[in-house]
Amino acid sequence: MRQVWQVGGLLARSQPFRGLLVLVAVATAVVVATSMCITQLSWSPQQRAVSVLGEAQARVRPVVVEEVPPGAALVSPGWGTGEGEGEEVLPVWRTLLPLSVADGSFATVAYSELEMPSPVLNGNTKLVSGRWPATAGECVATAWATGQASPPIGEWPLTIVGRLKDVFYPSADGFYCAPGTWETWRLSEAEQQASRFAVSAEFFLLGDPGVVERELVQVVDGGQYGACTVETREQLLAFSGVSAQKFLGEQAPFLALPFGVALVLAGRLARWSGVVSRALVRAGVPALPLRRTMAATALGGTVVATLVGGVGGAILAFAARPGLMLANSGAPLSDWRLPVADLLEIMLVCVIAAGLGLGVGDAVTSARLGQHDRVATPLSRTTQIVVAVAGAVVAVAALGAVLMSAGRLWWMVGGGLALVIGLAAVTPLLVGKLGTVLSRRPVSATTLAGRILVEDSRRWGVVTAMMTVVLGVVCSLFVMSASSLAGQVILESSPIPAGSVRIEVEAYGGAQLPPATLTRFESDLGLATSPVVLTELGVKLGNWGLIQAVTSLDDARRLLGDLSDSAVMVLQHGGAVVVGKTMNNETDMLAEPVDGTSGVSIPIISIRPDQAHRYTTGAGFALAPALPERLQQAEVVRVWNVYQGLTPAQDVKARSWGADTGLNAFQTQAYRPSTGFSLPQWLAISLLGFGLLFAPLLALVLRNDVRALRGLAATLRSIGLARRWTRPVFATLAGVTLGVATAVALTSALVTGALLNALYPSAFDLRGTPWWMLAGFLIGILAAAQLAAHSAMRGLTSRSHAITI
Amino acid sequence: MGVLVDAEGIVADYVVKTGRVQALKGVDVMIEAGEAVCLFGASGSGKSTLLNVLAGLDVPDAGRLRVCGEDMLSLSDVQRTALRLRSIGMVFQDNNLVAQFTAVENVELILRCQGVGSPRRGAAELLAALGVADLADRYPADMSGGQRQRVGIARALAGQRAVILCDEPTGALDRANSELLFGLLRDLAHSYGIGVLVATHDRLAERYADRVLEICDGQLVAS
Repeated sequence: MRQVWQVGGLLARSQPFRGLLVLVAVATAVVVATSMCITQLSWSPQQRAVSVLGEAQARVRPVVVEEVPPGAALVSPGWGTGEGEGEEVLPVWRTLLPLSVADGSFATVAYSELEMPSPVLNGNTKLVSGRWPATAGECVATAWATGQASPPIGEWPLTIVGRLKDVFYPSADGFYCAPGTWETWRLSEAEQQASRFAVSAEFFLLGDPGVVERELVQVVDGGQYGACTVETREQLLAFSGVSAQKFLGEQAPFLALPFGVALVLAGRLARWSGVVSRALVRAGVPALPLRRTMAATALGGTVVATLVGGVGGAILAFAARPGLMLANSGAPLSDWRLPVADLLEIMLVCVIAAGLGLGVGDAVTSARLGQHDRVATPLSRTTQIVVAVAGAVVAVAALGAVLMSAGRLWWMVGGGLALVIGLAAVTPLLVGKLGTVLSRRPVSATTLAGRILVEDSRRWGVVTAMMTVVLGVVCSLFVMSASSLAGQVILESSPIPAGSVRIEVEAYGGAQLPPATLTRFESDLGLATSPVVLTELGVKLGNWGLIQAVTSLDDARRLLGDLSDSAVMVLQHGGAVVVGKTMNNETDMLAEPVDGTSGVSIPIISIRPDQAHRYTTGAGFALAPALPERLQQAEVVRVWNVYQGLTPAQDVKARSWGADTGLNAFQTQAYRPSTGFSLPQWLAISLLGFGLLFAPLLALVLRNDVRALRGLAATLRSIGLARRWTRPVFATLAGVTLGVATAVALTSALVTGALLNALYPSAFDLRGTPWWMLAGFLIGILAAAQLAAHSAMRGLTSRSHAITI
Repeated sequence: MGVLVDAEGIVADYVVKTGRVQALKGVDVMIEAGEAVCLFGASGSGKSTLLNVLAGLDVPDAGRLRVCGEDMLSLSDVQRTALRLRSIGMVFQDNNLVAQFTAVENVELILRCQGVGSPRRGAAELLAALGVADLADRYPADMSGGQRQRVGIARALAGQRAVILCDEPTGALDRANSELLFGLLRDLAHSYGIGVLVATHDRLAERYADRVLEICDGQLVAS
């Protein structure tokens, strides 16, 4: 027994054990420090309560708000039961407004009107300079605004008498104005019609919490204000932000680092101790107590390492607080607390990982020690062919699944992954064939590599197939995800082409855009050309949307560019032109009025206008006078004026005209350039993370396989063949294996991607996929394989070493 | 006759966790062209270490060593490997043939790396000279121990190498084959004017040696 415990001490002094301790401690420290920094950036429940309520006990926001237009008096809606004893109800009027200041700068700001100073603002705002507003027309504002401010329309001079800072949102823009300020805003009748500005009230309840609660039950549950959103201090204080979803979605990925480190290093420790154990057992030390001691030492060490690392990480997070606050624009941080629960979580994860690593490492060591007696085994040609044929059948079935997916996600994804497996089954045959071809050449390094591939084709075939599956799954999922995301860009591309803008001159329900507003629109944007009038009819074309009609063929040409003779003929015969490919190359389609009257089949034709005339608003375009009478009598949904020939500067101005001027009661639609496809972080990080995990794993697998040929390498060196000659042998082995795996994996990903692109062109965009990223990933993997081959040849010049216990 | 191997005061250590072990403690060896030398010694006496040093597989910690006119201690590992390719053939106890190549390909391999013209024909001729021409297309696994050793010697001779170093070449052979092999090595030394050093613990070799050396605990005790 004493021997066994002495072994525990020896293990504890070994380099692999020390490595396990140090790196687990470091990983834990990193994870704890990172997660604590993130936690500190999230507010505590107390801070959240103050940011929302100030000193109030509750906030009530009616869902259905009564909006008050500019210039109208803000009559407090009054609190249903009146203010009870020990209770105060403060209404705050709020809206979002575009406001400009004296220097011409402009922003959409939060406008609030309330008595100030106010307990609602205590704790979440701070008057930095000046004074609180006292009379109507006076406001305090956040840092960007100085002097006077005014809205885009009407007369409403606001005087800024103080500068305010939002404690919790330092970069927010806000105006807080004295009661009566809203009433002083003067708009003309036309401006009133063309704008949608309005303000609405929410209520803050102050006082005894018990009284407030009873009041809430009576008023809110009693339905005085209809449906309401209620936030109480008690609810906000109780919110801890911890949930199973949050754990899985946010915390779990952090645990991957200490898990991975503990797993890998425990595996390494197990390999070392496995060799030692064999010698000790042969020397008479009992096996089972020995294994238990080693396991207990390793796991105990892991516990200690996580504790030390966790405390270290917590201290680091504390030290980082000043920097965090600076990086967070000065917003407050939540309190620092030693994360006992998190530490216990990490400890548990590390112990589990270490246990797994010890178990797996032990199994691998046993297998490897027996590998010296392993005989090279060729895979018979019959077996290769049978497996390849089975794989081909699976591949065909997989392609069938994709072809028949009909929009079903799991058929698409499952088909893609099954294709990988099917093609992976073909790789042993490919490796065998390649080996045979290489081995027939005159004596050379590659010939030797070819002969090794053939001689031990079972091992190399299996290794290649496994790598193909792993790489294939990664490539296929990446291509499918990326091309789908790129396809979304197509879907979200602007319905109005660059150089065009349209404005609603008749809204749904018949409201007409005031002529003065239209004049201002044309003048503000500098529109010189006369518009094309586009009428949106209440007629559905198939399931694609409403038909839009122009009044003449000239207008159709102005709008859509050059039209072919067939398109003109379709228009003149009462049909519609559809931009882009139709689903099934239809030549006619049912056009149905939305009022339920019976429809009529009209001819349709697909057109591909140039970029400047590519309008994808609605279902299709028709010639109003040529439409069947039944459709001509359909209701008019909207009428638009479409202007063309805008410069890029005019495009930019058109995009925000409604918001800038406040004349946003009638819709304007301008060109919105697509932001382009940018790979989401999660996909990029996943690919990179996989590459970082897989590359060393791959290097380890290949290194072990190549290391089995170290004897051959030593022989070649001893008979005078330089490393220059022998290195290509191992590089060829790694290269063939991985080259075949990569080629097949990429092929399966491309085939799946191309099929999905062809079947669902609006949902998958293969050309938009960031191929450079996939190429970089695969090149990295290939480089890792070559490094593995190189690493396997190291140490041949060293003299023999002995394991000293 | 020229001196092919001239070693003086060779010292070689191994570093182990408990310290250093001196495998060779100042060994002097000289081999001339056309002579067959036997090096006797028990297991652990330093025979293999000395052979590795003479072949350039290991670098001694002290001493002077010239092989085929080259100062081995001043050469890099790449240069020593190149010297081994063109001038020093090695024969091992387990012959160390490349299992994936046939007999003729094992010899051809060396000739190709040396840049010799018609390497396949040259390899076949060497095998014929050693009486194993009929084994040309056989793989090592399909040969007897004695046959493998002959192929190994043919490979060692490839490219007109000047020195052949043999480490326990008869370790896996029976007495009859051992005698044949020792005789072959002596005849090759005399016929081709090469220097042959056979490290062995088999006293049978004494009969076929021009000179006998004895090594014990890293030192030569008789020459």
